[in-house]
Amino acid sequence: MAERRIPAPPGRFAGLSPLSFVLLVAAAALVIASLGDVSPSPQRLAEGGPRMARLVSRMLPPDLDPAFLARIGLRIVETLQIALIGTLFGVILSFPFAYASARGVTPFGPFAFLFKAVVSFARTVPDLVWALIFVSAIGLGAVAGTMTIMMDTLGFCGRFYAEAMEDAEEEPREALTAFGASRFGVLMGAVIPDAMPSIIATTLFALEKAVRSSVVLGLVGAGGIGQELKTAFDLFQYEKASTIILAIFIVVLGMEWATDRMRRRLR
Amino acid sequence: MALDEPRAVAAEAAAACRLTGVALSRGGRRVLDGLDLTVGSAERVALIGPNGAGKTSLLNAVVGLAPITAGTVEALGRNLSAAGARAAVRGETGYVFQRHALVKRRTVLSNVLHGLLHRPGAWRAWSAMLAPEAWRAEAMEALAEVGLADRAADRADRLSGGQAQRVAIARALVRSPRLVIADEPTASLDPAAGREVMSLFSRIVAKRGVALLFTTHDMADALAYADRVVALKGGRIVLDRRAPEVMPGELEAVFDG
Ligand SMILES: Nc1ncnc2c1ncn2[C@@H]1O[C@H](COP(=O)(O)OP(=O)(O)OP(=O)(O)O)[C@@H](O)[C@H]1O
Ligand SMILES: [Mg+2]
Repeated sequence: MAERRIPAPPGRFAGLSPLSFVLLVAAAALVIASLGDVSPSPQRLAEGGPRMARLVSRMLPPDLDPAFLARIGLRIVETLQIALIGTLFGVILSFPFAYASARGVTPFGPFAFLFKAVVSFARTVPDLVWALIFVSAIGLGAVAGTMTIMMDTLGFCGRFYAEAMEDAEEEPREALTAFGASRFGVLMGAVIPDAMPSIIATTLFALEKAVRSSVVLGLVGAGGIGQELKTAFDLFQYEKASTIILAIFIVVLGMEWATDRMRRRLR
Repeated sequence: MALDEPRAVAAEAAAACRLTGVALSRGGRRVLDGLDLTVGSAERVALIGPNGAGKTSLLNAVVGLAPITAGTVEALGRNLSAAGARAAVRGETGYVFQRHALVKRRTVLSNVLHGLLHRPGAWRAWSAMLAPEAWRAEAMEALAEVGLADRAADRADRLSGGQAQRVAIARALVRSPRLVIADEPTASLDPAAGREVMSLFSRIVAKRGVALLFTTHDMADALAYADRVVALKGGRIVLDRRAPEVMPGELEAVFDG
């Protein structure tokens, strides 16, 4: 028998290059330095506690005046409309961008990154900044909010739809290509059906996210319930503020419950 | 080569496919190395050889799925490097893959309709919902041919391996191909299901009088269902015999050393 020599296992830190080691140490140093700069000191916390308690006591009891509740109800409806329509437009916009940017699916070859870049840009600009831009461009109100949610959804769905398309099974795609199907034919025949569960799940998350962010858009004047909240705080009407916060809480929770149920149905 | 010679042109038209001096590299490695192979218009050819011999690459080269680096590929009377030839050849070829390669979340009928994606107005073959009645009838006919017409409405991932492979065959046959290519069509099936699929397959192919080029690791299948056996090794043909003339043990010897 030939003698068998088993090579030694690779070194424990073989995967860790000197560069990543340096970066790791630098990151640790940054965290420790920042801790002192921005985290609350014990005495700040001690002072803040009682003040927080005073604020909460002024918030109680919540204002339950029927006329006020009716106005809040209307604002809530407007908020949901912004979320729903913004998500709808965003989803419609996301499909072509995902198709154009998904690796192995795109018909644009090396230029696919341009579309990916647009989606990244839509995602990296925070929603409040989009809201400020649209309020300046098209004025105060719900339309600016809808546009904001649309850009937010494009950033989110455009990316994850593309990933779902990239992850679609390879074999059926190759089969349809061998049958002389066009790129678009392969997309519609094989890629979309395979990616569908993931696409629907992403869309439901997008809707949930849209409700959460449409709530705060009013802070910068882009419509919805946030506007009422800002007014209440500005005028020191804390009982009204607490009603609004409760309403927001109920709406967001309700939305999460509903999308959760739908996602479970999906399996 | 002999393009101005009338008899050569006639012979080309009669062949289902003809490879001349074909070389092909994958990931910097030479996979096919100056290979000549002709398949007649109604001939059934089995391609055997060890793993990595280049069988799949050869099949892919015939329909232009793998780009060749030297030589010429002619299929169904067309030079594959000519403009528009690839689409035309793919349109008249039926391909059956090693693992059925069906779209799992679609119905059996939709999957068979995918075989019509080369036609004008292809969007109607995206799914059974969009397809015109005539196309649906064609697909049902192909399904009946493989004995699965009653499963048309089931989702493809509800099928057993053998049934899925039969659906894949129906998907290739609905195209009315003149050439059928099959890459280890029975590799994922148990021996009984494999025999059943293979005999059904070769029976249909023989009845329709179309050419069949298939790969297999089962020497009995190669001898039983092909008119001719071609062995590939290291990207070259090392044996090319009519099936009845193969000596006992000759095929097995291809895998030694
Ligand atoms: N996409 C690819 N990228 C890189 N190398 C590849 C690729 N496809 C095939 N190869 C290489 O080409 C060679 C031939 O592969 P091929 O699939 O044609 O062999 P095969 O005869 O079909 O083998 P098997 O019997 O295992 O199916 C192998 O060495 C393989 O590693
Ligand atoms: Mg193979």
